Amino acid sequence: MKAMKRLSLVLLAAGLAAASLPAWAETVLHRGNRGEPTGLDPQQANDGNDWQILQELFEGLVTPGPDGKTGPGMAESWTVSADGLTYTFKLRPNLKWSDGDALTAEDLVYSFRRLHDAKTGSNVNPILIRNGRAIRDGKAAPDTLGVTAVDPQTFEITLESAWAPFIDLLSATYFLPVPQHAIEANGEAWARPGKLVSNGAYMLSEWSPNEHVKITRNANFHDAAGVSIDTVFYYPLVEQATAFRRFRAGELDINSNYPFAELPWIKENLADSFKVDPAFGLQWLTLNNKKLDVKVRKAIQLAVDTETIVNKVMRSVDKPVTEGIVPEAFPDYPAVTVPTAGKTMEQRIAEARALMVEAGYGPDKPLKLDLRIKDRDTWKATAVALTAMLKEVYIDAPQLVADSATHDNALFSFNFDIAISGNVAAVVDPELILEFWRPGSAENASQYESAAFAAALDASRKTTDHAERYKQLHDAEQILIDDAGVVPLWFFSWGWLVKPTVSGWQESPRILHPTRYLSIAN
Amino acid sequence: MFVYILKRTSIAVPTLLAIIALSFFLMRFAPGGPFDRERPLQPEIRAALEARYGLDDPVFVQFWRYMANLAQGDFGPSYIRPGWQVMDFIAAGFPVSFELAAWALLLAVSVGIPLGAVAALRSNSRLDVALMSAAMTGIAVPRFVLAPLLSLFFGVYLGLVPVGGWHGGAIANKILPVLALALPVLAYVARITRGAMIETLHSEFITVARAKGMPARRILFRHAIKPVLIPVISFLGPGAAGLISGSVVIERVFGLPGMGSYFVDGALNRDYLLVLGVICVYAAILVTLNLVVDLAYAVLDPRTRSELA
Repeated sequence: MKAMKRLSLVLLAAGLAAASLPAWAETVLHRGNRGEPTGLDPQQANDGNDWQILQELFEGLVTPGPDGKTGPGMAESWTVSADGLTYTFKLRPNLKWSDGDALTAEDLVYSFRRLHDAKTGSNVNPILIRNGRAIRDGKAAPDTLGVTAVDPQTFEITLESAWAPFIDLLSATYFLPVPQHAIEANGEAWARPGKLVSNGAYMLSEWSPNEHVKITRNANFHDAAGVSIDTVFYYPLVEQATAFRRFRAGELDINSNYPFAELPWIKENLADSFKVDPAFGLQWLTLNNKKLDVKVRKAIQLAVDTETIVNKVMRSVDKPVTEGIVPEAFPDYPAVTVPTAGKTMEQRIAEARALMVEAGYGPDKPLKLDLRIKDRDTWKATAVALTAMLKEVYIDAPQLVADSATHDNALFSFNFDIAISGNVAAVVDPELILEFWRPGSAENASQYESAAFAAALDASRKTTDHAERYKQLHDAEQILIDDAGVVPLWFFSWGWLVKPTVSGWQESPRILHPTRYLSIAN
Repeated sequence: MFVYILKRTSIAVPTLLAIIALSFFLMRFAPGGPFDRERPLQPEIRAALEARYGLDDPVFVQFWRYMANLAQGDFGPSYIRPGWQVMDFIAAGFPVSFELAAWALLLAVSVGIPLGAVAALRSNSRLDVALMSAAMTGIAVPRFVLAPLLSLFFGVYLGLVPVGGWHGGAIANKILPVLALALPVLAYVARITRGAMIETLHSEFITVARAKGMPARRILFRHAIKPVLIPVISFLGPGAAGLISGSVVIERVFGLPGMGSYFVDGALNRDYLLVLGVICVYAAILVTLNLVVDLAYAVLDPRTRSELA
């Protein structure tokens, strides 16, 4: 009896203790990512899956806010010289790495130099900072890079030439700082749990391959008090159907995508969980400029009805391109004229057919092309529509589906006719969109060549006057449209599934939603 | 007998080497490589990466280097995940895949054999028809249909088990994957057992045993079972292979950190050494299993033994 009484007292005490636990319980967020990160070294990461986690672990000089706008990060303020070449950043006082070591301007000098070293393997374009190109090509020593630690709290960057969007670009994942002491101690394997040292709101706690990445609150973060969620689990979920089931069962609070086939169901039944980011990027039809005559390209430009594709065939949350290639995010950017403006579909097809006949094709002599696509639901639906639309203008273009590596390899070895491509620009700026077609650029699969286009792009870089810069970019865009170098299809939006219990979510064209801005209601 | 074991074992190693060599060269036929990305790498970066991993050497040199490292137990680095060795991934994924496959095999055999036996003993009854129809369904329905259905029904609608994830190997997380993995194999085992049992029960030596008045239980468990087990065991060789290939689908559908995903993702990303590493492990398992099956014949079937003597 006495034993029983003692036992029940113990149980009662345990029960009371357990009941009071929620006061100290940590807040945990479960997020679905689209795949396993390829690596957590910010300077080597090339994938959207990586960036989402990296922006949690690290913080740059400037950082994307909850709405995607760039704001102060490690730097509390900065000034730009009159000629636009020198940026001077004043770092916050007492910045620390997650292991307690001090973070000073010297760390930033190290980071930038490592970024430009070809051996690091970073794909960032090195032409911006003074001597960056020469260092990357191995023609100059890393310490000649245009970065200086004026004093431990002041960091200076000198550019090769003035560039207006530079501050926004600095918030990109490539420019996140890396810990010199951890890299020198651990070499290539520094970006693993137990060794990775970071300076952001979170630090790396566990990385179980293919299972989860667990990050926990970094007490040494300068705004640790403002971070409300203690732990975040990132699950690499390649199969969106699986991720969707887990979201519905309540196992995930956020999922970074959704199965496209379920969109109508989601809109009807999970409307309060469906969030859309208007991404700053587009999908387009890459035309092999070397293979296809300008008349053929113009015919394709006229024949493709983007509104039908997006609104009737795909029925997705994306926005068809009707005006120009640059998204309408810039109120003072001059409008371009497009060859499809003011014409009915019948007129466009008639015009396109005339062009094709001039180019030597006809209803009995169609042009045979391969329409290359990746195995994506939206692209497959689009390809069916495109094949039908191109058939109207004497082009026989059956779709050719391939896996990602095969498709990219074909594209960038110029082994294709027409292909669907797409991308997101690193910065919300018109120039970054037009850069995809810069002649000679590694990203220009279409091999579009136009001296006038390149000249206009370059001229936009030489001026610090905003209106003049936009005018040059507008001229470049107009040339690209007039040459029919590409057929833009739609501005894509990114859909997220977010439980209503998560608050602080804002639309962001960066498609980035760092957990430090979020909280969970219990 | 000893010679038989030696002979069978000595074929295993060259088989394994042939599989690895073939896979190595076959993979290179797929267009593209590990550095083909949506955002293409700048030429000097691509060159630096290829030099780092020795991918700019001729293929035969690369093959020789790989085999030399393999002999020392080094599977090489991952091309896609800098800083990670293939061994890291295998060490993380193998226990998961193995556990799933082991439980599935256990379930398939421990439930399939009794079910098949019951169906055989009551052959052509309604129970038999029901069981064999269920077995047929289990064989006909592919895993990539069965698994999501189970997940949807028991996970999302009924909320009885987690929909996915491994959670460090929690039992609740294993129930559906093991079930989905085991069911087709279970169905096969049941059908084979039933067929073999019916045949055995009609054979002469069983008739003699009955005529001698031997109790039914003894007939079943002492005399009938061995001839029945032979076809079951010979199925288990390819059956295990089926479990391994099925695990790829199951791991994807339930989001489990097993080796199957490395197979698929590695191939899609052209992470050659990761795929090769997984192939080595799978091939070693299959070759070993087939060897064990062959040796089990010699134990179970006296006719095999006397042939070899």
